Amino acid sequence: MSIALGHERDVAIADLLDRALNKGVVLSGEATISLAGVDLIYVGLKVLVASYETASRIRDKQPLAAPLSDERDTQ
Amino acid sequence: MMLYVYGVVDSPQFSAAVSGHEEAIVFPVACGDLAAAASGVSCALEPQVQNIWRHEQVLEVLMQEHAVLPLRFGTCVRDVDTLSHDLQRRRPALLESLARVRGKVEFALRVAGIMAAGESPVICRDDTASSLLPGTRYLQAKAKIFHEQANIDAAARRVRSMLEPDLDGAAVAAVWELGGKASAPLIASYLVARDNIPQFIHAIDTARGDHPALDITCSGPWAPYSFVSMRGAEAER
Repeated sequence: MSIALGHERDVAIADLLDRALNKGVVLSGEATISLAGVDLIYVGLKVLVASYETASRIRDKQPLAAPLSDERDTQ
Repeated sequence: MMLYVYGVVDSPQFSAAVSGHEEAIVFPVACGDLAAAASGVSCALEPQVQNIWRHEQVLEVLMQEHAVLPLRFGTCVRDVDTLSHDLQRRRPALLESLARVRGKVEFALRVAGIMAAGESPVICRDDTASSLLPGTRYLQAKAKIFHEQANIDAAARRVRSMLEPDLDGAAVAAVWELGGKASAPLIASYLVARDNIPQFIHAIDTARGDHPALDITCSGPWAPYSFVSMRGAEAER
């Protein structure tokens, strides 16, 4: 369904990563944003594929090696 | 075993048979006239591209027949009762968001080359002569960084105002992310009615033609991630 109008598929992947990892509804209560065994260095590299800006923003906000599940509580 | 939650749909049921993570069938967890789309997973998921694509693909199948609120990738709950309780508590806000995105999709916009098309840079005196005291050099360096960021922000705002006349008419809403770095693109998300997708694509082409100095990239349609943000007190109001 998705189309890339400008650059190639990499841009579409980058845009999807930016959205799926940083946006969307966050259920609180008992819900968790759980990413198994992932620390921020790893996530940073993943997001770096998507967007230098996003990776920088996450690195600026979070201490290194903190689990991503903590991100929900800090925003 | 726990439940992975993909999104919330504006119906207690959905007919689409779709496989989610680990090839598990996605099923509805109803709460009145809406439902969460969930499937069982054996462990938390890593943010690998194929997992995130699967998350998006499930949402896209559901969006063919329903309004859908995408959840952030990686959202898991312990069981159906927990999910039902969360849905019930947030039902008014969820219904409001569903109404806002019904029949609409999101497009992602990246604009590079904003400094070339932006305002003339503010000149900052860069006197780093060794005769200056360390404190003075430090403050001058801080001032230089401040002015560089101000130049970037001014250029981003100007580029945004240049593009909005072309794009806004074909969209319902937009979110711009300003305050980036000179090397990073200006990013925007546009909420577009499905019926207006051809007009929006045409508007992108028009903007490219009107502003050849800018490198404008657009991808989509995506689930409306940027227009459904709800968390904490906002979600429970």
